[in-house]
Amino acid sequence: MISKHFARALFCALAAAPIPALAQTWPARPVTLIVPAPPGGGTDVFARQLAEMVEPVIRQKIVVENKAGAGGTLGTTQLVAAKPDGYTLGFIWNSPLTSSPHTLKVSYTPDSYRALMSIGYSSYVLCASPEFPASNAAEFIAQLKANSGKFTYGNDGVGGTMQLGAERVFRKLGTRVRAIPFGGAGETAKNFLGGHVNFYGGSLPPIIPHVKAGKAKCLLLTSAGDNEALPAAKGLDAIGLGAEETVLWWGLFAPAGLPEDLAATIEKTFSEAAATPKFRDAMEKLGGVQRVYDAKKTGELVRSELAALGEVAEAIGLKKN
Amino acid sequence: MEAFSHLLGGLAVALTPQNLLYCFIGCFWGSIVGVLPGLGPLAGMTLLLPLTFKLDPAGAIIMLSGIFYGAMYGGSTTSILMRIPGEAASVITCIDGYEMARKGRAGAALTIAAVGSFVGGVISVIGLMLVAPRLAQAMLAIGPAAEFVMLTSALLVAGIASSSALSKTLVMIVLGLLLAMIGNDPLTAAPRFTLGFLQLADGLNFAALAIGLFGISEILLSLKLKQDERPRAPSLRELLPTREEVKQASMPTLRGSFIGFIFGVVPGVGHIVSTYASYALEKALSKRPEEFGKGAVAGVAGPETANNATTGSAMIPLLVLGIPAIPVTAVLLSALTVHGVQPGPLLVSEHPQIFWGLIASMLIGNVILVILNLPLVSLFVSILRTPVGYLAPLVLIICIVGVYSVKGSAFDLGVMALAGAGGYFLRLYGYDMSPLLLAFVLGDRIEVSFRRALMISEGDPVIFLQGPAAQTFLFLLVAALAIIAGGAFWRSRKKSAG
Amino acid sequence: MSVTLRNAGETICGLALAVTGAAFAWTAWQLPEGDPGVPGPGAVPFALAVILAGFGLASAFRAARKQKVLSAAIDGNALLAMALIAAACLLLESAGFVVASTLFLFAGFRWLGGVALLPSAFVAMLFSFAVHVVFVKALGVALPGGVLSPLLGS
Repeated sequence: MISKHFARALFCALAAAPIPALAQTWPARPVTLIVPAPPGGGTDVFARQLAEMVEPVIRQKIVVENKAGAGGTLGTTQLVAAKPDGYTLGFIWNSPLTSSPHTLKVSYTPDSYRALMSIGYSSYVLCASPEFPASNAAEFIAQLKANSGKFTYGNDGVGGTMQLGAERVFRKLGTRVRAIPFGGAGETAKNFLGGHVNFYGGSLPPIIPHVKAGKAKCLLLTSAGDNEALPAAKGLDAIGLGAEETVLWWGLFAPAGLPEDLAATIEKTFSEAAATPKFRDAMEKLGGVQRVYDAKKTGELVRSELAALGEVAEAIGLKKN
Repeated sequence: MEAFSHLLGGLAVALTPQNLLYCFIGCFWGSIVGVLPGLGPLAGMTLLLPLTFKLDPAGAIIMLSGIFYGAMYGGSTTSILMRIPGEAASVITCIDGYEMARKGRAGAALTIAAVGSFVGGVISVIGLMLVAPRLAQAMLAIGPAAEFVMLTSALLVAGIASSSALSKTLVMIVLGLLLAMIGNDPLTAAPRFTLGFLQLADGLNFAALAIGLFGISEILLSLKLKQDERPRAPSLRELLPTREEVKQASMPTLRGSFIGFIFGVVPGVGHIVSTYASYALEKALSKRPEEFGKGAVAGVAGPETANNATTGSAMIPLLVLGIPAIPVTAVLLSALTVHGVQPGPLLVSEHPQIFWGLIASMLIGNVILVILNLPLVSLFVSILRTPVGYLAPLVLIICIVGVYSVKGSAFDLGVMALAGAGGYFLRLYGYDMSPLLLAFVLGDRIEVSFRRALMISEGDPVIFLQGPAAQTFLFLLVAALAIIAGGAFWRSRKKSAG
Repeated sequence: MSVTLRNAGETICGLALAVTGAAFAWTAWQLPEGDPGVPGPGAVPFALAVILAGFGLASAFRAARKQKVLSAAIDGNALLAMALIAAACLLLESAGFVVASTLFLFAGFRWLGGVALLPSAFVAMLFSFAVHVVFVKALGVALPGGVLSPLLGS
């Protein structure tokens, strides 16, 4: 009995090894999707929903693996170290790729991974209490300029995309707002609502219910355009700083060295799923905006954002530790 | 009265056959992941999260929250039988629960824990129903400065209640705080004491540390125990608590419910702190404090009730403010937002069927859980019938699987092994591990809130004395120290008089 | 000339804590201390580490002078168990869970528990396989398959 099993095992091992990962045969077994974020957050939910929509198309299971830690750099490091055979992919938001490399020691560069596509973005927003003496973006900026160094704003953590995006704008305006880092947008919202910091800085979903309840007024977005969910807030275009846009976005990545034809197959499969109205609805429910980019455009976005945020990090004195 | 008419509406939602089924699945699954060391409510909820995308929002949150409070029931099982904390909130149960098992009272300890969990769970749901909005406002008043005062007070009071000598307790508190500093600094992202390991960037894994310090070190120490010093399986007649034990458990259970409900509002660590606080209080109030650490019934009943009583109030920030205070409620939040329901101040008026349906289901779920868990007591104690030669290696391998299952990290196994060896030597020389773990859990929040408060005030330390929240906690600290000192004084007078 | 320490174990334990504190303090010293009034990443750990080093020294000193000796001897079996745990942890990812667990349990039953050869081997294999099935199939936890992965179908 044992020898029969063993022979079968040996056969399987030998048979599995030499098969080349060609686009025609992919996927011959389940695909692992590394998500460098904890379960339950926006990144995780988008990854799981996208996986669920792709599974029937490729007729294989996609196993979502949460590898959270170190601001997403832990899971990203694991992704770039994986075999580029199309069976390990990563669903990553932009922070570990374009923000963290400026403040943390990471082992990867844009050459270590290959962008496959991106699904869309979500803006960050700055909000003040209802009593704050400003009712639109222009008045808000006037207040910031007149009181440089006096106000505090909560953000998602030092060197995170939210902080760098906000500092990018403050720097252009020539003013200083003191950054108080919190563990996440929820904690920021709690401290903002309790009056412990002057402004809320973070993603939209946690603060929208409080805007509806009249407990907060949101004034400035970090995206170029406006957002339907917050009609009172203005995008950066409105104050002439559209070029300084920094948003939160999500994309699909593979280790560098993925064969061309296989990369094209994966890009096509996931892009088609992400472009459906069903996925747009799913994104809107979590405050996201559907905007599917192809591999080339996503790769360019990574490189340009990495450079721009690097300048900001240096300017505000965040150096690599 | 208005609350009750809403509750009836909620019962109508929760008692539909499908929602009742989801509630049962959640509770059942939660009990399983709670019993297994390492796997906790978070892992259990993640596994079932994709399934809930297909349910309606009320069904989704009913099932997921069932896992959450269900896991709190099971967490005490391995603590009592093997001194391995099933999850963080059951660390303190290891002390007296395991000692009860060694006296052959494992069945009684498990029964008391299950009934206490039920009482705590129900009282906390009633609290959630009645005072949620007001408690949410109180929580907002706790800024970084008040959080620092609160957590430091909790650490001091709970730490002093430890059974070891005061000087050794203080050493363990400092060591625990230091271990909490390992990892990237949350405020500047500077790596601290990571020795270049990326796996340490988020700090030491709690499950690895706790299972190493408690579970592994216990096995190592027990290897030279004689047969009659080991936990023994009770006979069928000894399964239930005696009348005396019920009497000893009743008041701690009630007090634990209130402590748990109040501490549930402490961000992030409420379920753990509440167990220490309850233990400290019971020890301070007890007429025979010397029994604590040697199998005191109150030392099981109070903390096991308290950790379940936090489940209701831990929901408050999520349901009233839309802010998840702990990772578990973050999963609940995403389960709701996937369906386009954004919790916040308007949830109760916009989606009453979700809010009241959830509350009703939590009441039903607690009933399901106590019915589910009591028969399991006799099954669990039969683990103790395992022949002695087999038991230690089996428990060790369960520890290894448990820690590995948390993150699939071999590095964490190394942490567990080192913690086990360290815990063995420290315990050999009279150091107690529970203050170390509490300090470890609270450490990074204490440090970060301290520095964050000073960032807000630009270095002015007066901020720690300002505001109603900080002043309230300072007052409570003084009161608690007075009770402890007074209790000790009264006992010593009584002893010398008698 | 030999100095007999009455309480060697406890004294060494205190000294080890002091050394741990000193090592933490030395590392923390190199971290930024922060601005006046606003402590940086190094300040709090440095203060704690110095306290730990002090406490450790004090308890070592007290233990060395103490009359009452804690009757605590290190147990050979405990050291053996530590070595077995370390080996199992190292083997887990390369050899896979079932192999590592079977070897660990077999060695544990034999040397720690004094169980006979055949039952040791049988229970070790059966239990390891059962845990693998329960965790992987029912709980969805990814345990490493290792050398047996083709056989286990994972």
